Amino acid sequence: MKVDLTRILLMTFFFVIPVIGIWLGQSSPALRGRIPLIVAFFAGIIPIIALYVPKNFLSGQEGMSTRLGQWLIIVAGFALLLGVVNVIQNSSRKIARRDSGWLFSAVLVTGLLITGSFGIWGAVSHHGIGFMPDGSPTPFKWVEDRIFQPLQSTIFSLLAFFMASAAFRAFRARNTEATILLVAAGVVMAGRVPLLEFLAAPVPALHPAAASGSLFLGSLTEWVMNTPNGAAQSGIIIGAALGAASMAIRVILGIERGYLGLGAGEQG
Amino acid sequence: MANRDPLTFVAARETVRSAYLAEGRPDLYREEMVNYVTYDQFAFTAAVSARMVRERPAAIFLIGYFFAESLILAETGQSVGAIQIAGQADPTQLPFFVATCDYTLIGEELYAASAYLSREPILLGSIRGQDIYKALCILVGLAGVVAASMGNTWIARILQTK
Repeated sequence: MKVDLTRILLMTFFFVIPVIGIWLGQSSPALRGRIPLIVAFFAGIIPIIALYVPKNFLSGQEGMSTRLGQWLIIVAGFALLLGVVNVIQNSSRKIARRDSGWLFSAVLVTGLLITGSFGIWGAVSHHGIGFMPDGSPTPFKWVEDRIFQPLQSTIFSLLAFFMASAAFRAFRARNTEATILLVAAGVVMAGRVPLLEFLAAPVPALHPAAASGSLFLGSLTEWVMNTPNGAAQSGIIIGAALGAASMAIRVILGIERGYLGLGAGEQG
Repeated sequence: MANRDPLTFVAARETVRSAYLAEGRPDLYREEMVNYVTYDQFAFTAAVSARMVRERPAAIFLIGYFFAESLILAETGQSVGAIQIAGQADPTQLPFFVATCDYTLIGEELYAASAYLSREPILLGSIRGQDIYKALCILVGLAGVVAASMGNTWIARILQTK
């Protein structure tokens, strides 16, 4: 009989050890508090090792890291259910208490139940959530196309107005930095659109000068975006990557444990 | 505290609970303070913006990974007069936060914030290690620039990604 090492190890790390820990934790609360740290350690360290050790039992198609990824999808499915339950609980509480904005909660719960039932109907009737055999949309698809997508587009289109008000505030030349920002933004905006050609359109004699001016502004824009802006962005990305790696190491080693409801120095 | 990701929602709840506990006011903590909203980008934006307008909070923390919704959220927060602190590791939305928020945690500052606030020696040590490593990266980068300028590309080849 072929022994599946990856399955045995994963079951040991994520089932046997936690169960033994919970059992032993009945008499020792301190030990019980450490079990999530051990699980987090294995869940964090396995993908990292798999990245550097190209062995089949780690990073292969049925390797530990790949299986962990699949488990994550399953856990995410259950977590989503938890989220939906939380939404229903909170909204129901609001409606029952007649808190401020309870009508919005009523609309939310109604929408959730109607859309959810359409989705379940699609699964039960084997029509899915796309189109019916005759090409007409399923009720779920109809809700998505006729209600959900337009609402999304509405929120997204608000961005234009918010951008205008933010730009107005940001581009006021209050100090040296704001003035540099204003000038750089002006150059980049002028370099991205054929502004000079537009301005020179009524005067044909100015067309060649406008075209060469546009070319210059275009190359200046590229320089601003690639050199000072690119350099600053690279610095931020390198710093953030190091910060993220450092944070990951802190979580894997159990130094940072706020996510468990324990302070950094607490011995769980 | 509104959550977009159901996977991190429980961890967020525990973090907030422990913060109330650490400040000696566990009685003020209520579970509904940390709630799940939705995974969808603009539905989340609409829900959180509406909540800002209804509840008019004194302070808003926009911490995490934001896309087009960053400006909608930050501008709504600005319009209700809240003090706003934003933080994002990725630089794409940082200009919007800098323009609209009172304070912005840029890049690595986001990850250093917990060490800075708690003053835990181990956390501060990891920040120190990070700084040393960053200094080494800068030195290697400068050495690479000098070497490449002199026609030697071996450092560039070592640092090259696939």
